[in-house]
Amino acid sequence: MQFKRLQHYVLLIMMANALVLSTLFSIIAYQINQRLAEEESKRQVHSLLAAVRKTASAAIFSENEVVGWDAVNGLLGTDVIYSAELESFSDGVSSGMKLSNINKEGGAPLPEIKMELESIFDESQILGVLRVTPNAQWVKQRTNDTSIPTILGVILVVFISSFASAQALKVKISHPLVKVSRKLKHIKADSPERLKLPDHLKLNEIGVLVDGFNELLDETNTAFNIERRLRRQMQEAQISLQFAKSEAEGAAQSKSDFLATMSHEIRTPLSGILGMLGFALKDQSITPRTKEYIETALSNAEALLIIINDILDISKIEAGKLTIEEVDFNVRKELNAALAIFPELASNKSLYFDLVVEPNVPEFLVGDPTRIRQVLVNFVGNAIKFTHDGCVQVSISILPIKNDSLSENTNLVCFAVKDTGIGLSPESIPKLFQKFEQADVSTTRKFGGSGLGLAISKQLIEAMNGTVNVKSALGEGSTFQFVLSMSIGKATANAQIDIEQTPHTHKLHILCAEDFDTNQLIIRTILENMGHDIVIVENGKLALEQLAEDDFDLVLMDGRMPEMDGVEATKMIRKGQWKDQTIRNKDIKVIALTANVTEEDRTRYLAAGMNDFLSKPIDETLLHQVIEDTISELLEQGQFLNPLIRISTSELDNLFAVPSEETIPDTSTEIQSMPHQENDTLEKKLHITFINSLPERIIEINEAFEAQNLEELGRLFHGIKGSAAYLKNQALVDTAGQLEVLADTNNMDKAPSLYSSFMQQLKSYQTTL
Amino acid sequence: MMKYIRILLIFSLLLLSMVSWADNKPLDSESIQIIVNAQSELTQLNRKQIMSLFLGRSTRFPNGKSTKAFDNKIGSALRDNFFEWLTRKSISDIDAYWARLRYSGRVYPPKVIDNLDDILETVRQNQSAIAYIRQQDPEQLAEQGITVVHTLRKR
Repeated sequence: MQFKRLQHYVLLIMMANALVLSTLFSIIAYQINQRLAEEESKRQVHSLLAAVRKTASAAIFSENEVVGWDAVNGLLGTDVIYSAELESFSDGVSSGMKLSNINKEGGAPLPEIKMELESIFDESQILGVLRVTPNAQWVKQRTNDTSIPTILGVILVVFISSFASAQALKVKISHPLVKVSRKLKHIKADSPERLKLPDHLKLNEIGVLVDGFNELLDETNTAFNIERRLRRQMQEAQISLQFAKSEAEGAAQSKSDFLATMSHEIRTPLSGILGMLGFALKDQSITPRTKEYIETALSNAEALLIIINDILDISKIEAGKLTIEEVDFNVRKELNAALAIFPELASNKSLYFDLVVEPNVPEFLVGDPTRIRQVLVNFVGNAIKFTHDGCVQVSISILPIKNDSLSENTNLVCFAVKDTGIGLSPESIPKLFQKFEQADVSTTRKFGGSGLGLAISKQLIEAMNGTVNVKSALGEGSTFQFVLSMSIGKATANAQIDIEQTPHTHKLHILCAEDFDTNQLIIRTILENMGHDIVIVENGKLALEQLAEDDFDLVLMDGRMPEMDGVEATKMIRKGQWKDQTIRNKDIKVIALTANVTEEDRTRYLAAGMNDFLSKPIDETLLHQVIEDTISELLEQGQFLNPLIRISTSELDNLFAVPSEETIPDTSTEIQSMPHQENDTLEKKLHITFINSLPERIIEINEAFEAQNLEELGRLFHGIKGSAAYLKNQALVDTAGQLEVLADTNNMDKAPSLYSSFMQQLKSYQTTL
Repeated sequence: MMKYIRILLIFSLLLLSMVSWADNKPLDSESIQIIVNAQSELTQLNRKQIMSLFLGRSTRFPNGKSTKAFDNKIGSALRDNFFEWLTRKSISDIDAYWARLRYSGRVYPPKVIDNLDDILETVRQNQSAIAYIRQQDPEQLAEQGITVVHTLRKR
């Protein structure tokens, strides 16, 4: 639709109106003029008749045709008359005559006008009649002549007045409207601008419209302001909410941090308690009653450790620090190990405990065995706790895969723990997995527990992309099951688990930095039991001082220590320099001892230059393994190590202030029963390793000799000396020893023959195998 | 000048009226006789018939005999009286009438005879003649062979 201007529309209407009016006026004017012309013609006819009357009368009276014709033709001499007829009646005197003629100019007759002619000298005597017809053409002509100016005038007047009206309307209506509408386009509700009209245009409906619109604008403006204020308030509220949120998050973070710190702080003394209780149980001198007490204390301490661990887990989960491993593991072995304690616990309550692994469950799967174990232990522990008679059954099965999207290699593994316990009411099931909730409050009283176990389990299962569900009815037992989709794994060597804890072949000089007394004692006990030489310091600074003074083979470094913590100390070690002191061996192996082994901590420790971790409380087996690895690494590097000298039992007993008796700890028994044959094979293995490494060593020595790098040469000679000593090649030990001294004292050039004979010895040794 | 002309005009008009008054002295006490030749055998004509004959409408007597009217001197009191008494119109109307007819060139007014003796003589000798005279003794006229067919009086 084309935009049509109101102004044009008004003009159009006005002009149409003018057309109609002028047509109407013209018709009326024409009619009137026609009537007037007719009247005029009659009047003229009558006056003509009056003019010829006497002549006509005379003609009739005298019966004179010539005069009669004069009268008739005189009438026809004007074009008002179309035809004229003079008739005289015949009477006794006259014979009568009839004179008739029409206008030679032509035209058309109108109704006849008749005039009776009486005798001139006697009015009572009618002698004849004069008949005339007015000329229509004259009337028409006359009408036209008078009408055209009238009509033109009327048209002119009407059109001018219409145009004037249109202009007036334009000025009064369309112009203000156009103004208003233009302004309306640009005006915004929130602008202070208002529609304005001159006062003389305001005193009509447009004025009312403008006023109304302005009022509307005012209202809208007010509404806008209110809205803006509300929005601002909302934004402020949002900001304060944001602030509150970040505060709350901060608080939550602080809570998590606090929990983590507290758990750690609690765990550290707790590991002391556990360690000490463990040692106490090994003490043969205690009475059975005391042993019972200690056992009770131990189990309570263990329960406490579990709760602490739970809390630590929760805080880890909440902090988003929970990490799930993806490793290959042996399902049956892992489960057997995890559930090994339960048959005994079950039999204590006279329960039947059964573990069923379906034959179609693959031997190896990929997943996080630690977490699966944690969940299963939690479920089984609950099952045993809440079952008074009957059985607890753990079953592992493979569910048929319904979803095609899973790859061929993937299995849905269902872990189910079924019991015949007290069961759960339908209402309590949804609450089960909430933190600090148990089926009901009385449960806590009756059975104890933190109420965190199931919440942690659920979070762990969800973190492994699994689902958990519970089927239960009051008094009819429960089934807890979780389903994980896991792919089939590869066989693992699992050497660490299988390996038997064999005594160490060499004695290490170990530095341990640990601030807590009990832990110092535990580490000292364990390490000295293994036959190693240990120096314990209380913080990082002291450790650095020791490392500058003495040669060590291994450093065990606690994470958190006063003065200087493990990370800082390790950085200094790797730098090789601390204050004005030089670290003698900056490549020394550093093992972190830490309670908090989060992924973040690991990264931090590794970045600081630590080689490995051991979590506290210290697992003796793992520590043993670490030291074993260190020994073989050092030997491989050609480090000289003293073969292990056994620590006597009495010495150990003294250390622990245990009354000297014949009984000795199991570990030392094992060390003493070290088979010689095994030692031989080790020696042979080392021999082969040494020979294999010789070509490379010779090249290194040559290079260092060429470059006159005495320090490097010294290190290399030292390595050869160590290896030769282990291999019991005394000649090589001597030569290497002499050369080492020469290199260290910068006297290499004084014995060129010694060097060449040494190289000869090395080369000949290569062929000894 | 204008004043002078006006005075002159009024004076001349006065003079003219005195002359006409003297000449057209009304004959109130008299009557006018319409006469014909006795041999015309007419004894009586009515006023209408007289009008037709003297005003050119007819040239025949009612008995069908041809006739000829004779008039008196134009401007004389007799003529004025005659036509005025006959037609009851002013003499100017009569003159206008004649003027119209004469204009056509076909009709002519009656022949004018200036004195009474000539009139009487004409009527005596012409059987078709008709004329009017001041009242005379009808007996005397009859002796002369003249018949009075109508007598007009002032109304």
